[in-house]
Amino acid sequence: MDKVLDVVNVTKIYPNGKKANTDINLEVRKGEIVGLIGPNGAGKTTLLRQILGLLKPTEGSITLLGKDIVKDPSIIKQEVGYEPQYPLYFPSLTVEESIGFALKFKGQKGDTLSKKLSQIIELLCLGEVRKYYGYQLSPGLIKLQLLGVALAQSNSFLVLDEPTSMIDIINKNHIWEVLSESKADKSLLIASHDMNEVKRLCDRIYLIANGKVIAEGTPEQISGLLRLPCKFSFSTSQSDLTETLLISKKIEYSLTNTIFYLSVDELNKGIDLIKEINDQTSITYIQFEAPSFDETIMKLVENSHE
Amino acid sequence: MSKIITAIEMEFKSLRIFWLQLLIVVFVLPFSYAFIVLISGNLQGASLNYLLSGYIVSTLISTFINMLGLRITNMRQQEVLELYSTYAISFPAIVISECLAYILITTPIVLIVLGYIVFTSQSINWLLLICGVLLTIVFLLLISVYLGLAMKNLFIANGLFQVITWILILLAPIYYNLDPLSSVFKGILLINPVTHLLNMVRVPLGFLPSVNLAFSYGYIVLLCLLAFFYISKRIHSTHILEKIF
Repeated sequence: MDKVLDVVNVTKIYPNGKKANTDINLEVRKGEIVGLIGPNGAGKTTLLRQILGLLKPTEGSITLLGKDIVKDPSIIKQEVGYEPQYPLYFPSLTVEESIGFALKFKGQKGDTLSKKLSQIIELLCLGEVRKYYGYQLSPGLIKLQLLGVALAQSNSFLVLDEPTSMIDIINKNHIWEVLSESKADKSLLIASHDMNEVKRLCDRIYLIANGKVIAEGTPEQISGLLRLPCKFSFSTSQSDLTETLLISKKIEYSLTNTIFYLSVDELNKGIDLIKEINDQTSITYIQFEAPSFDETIMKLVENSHE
Repeated sequence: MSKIITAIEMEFKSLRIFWLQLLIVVFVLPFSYAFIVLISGNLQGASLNYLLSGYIVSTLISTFINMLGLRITNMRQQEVLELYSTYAISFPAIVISECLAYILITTPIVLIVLGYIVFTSQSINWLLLICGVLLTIVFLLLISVYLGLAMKNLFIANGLFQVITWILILLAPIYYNLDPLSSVFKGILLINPVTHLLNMVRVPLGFLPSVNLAFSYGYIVLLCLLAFFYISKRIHSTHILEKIF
């Protein structure tokens, strides 16, 4: 697959000597959604700003569609659409004006502009607020408007910094669908704290902590990096029977209302246990993630601090 | 060029909720000074033209420094820079379009007042008048952009630019005559570039030069070059978020 973005050994040291990131290597291929995760202050936004040409890398190179962005910064404005992390807006521009200007700056006009503008507004369900001024919008709507600007601006590459933060769960699911579909003609780099978002959208993930990439791979590969206990919770139609079984097998558990919480050290052991419980009494609810992606991420970040 | 036209349109639309601030800066403040002078004496003919030519310059100072300068400082704020980075336009192109937008805003006042002066003046040196007005506009644009780029803190700029405007207007013979003043005060006024801008606008209208006209041109051109040098150095830096965020 062709590389759209290639970040090679990028290091950023601020003028006051603080190191924001060290030797970052990252690539985004055509038609791929790549996630950037890590704790607050890990260096995700710094890296995005370096990719956008807002910060100059102290060392290393960033290439976008084969062009070095330091030598040829115009490639960024030509190709990249960017949604910032914060809900930024022009107070006296309406939603349709904000998105419309992005299209105008890209050289669109007349019917083509109107058509494209309506498409984006419809796609993001912003029709009801298209005439609202920036100062009248909620943070969630501002984030949607920023995504609209990014979609209007981007040719081949979208950089999204926490694209669905502040957005309600209904719109969030819709945005995830929109982003998944945009893979057809764009590549995406998404910085996020939402693990559900990352697992659902991303083909590959880079985990950053203390300005360094500490893990990379698909969500499944990252989940399998550490041997962590498998946690699951379930309810059965006869709790007392289930309790007896767990006690007889000397398995530690906790019970809150009718939900059992327990962990086993291996996935297969967990599956066998669930089968056995289900043979005795029917399971009415189960939640099961093994190995847990979120826990693996937390453990990897903790290890990196050590 | 189409990007600059789009950015001008964007600026005009962005100014919609700031219309009162714009009205005060472009019209109310400069006119209030002129109004006091107008009602305090029976001004006619040449005296009125002297006052009105000063009014043109003070309108440009007030608008460019208080609106354009502040706008440039505002655009250098982290969040605004980041917001503009979502659009396909470079920072220098935005600055140029801002300058053009504020020229368009002041043009009606400048043309109407200048038209009245030209209509009522006995003798006019057209070439010098056009050069004088254009250089005045260019100088005040450059100085406003320079201030906007030099000032990092928007909250300080908000107050400081008003003080600078006030000093530039007060310490220049906009609404009073230079001749009866003491030599010390005259010397102070001659440091102020606005005194030279007024000289460049008034001499073509038949007023006696308050200082040698060639010296005024030389002084203003030199300051323009210095401001241009500074601006071109600062404006081309694309890496403008070089601080921890």
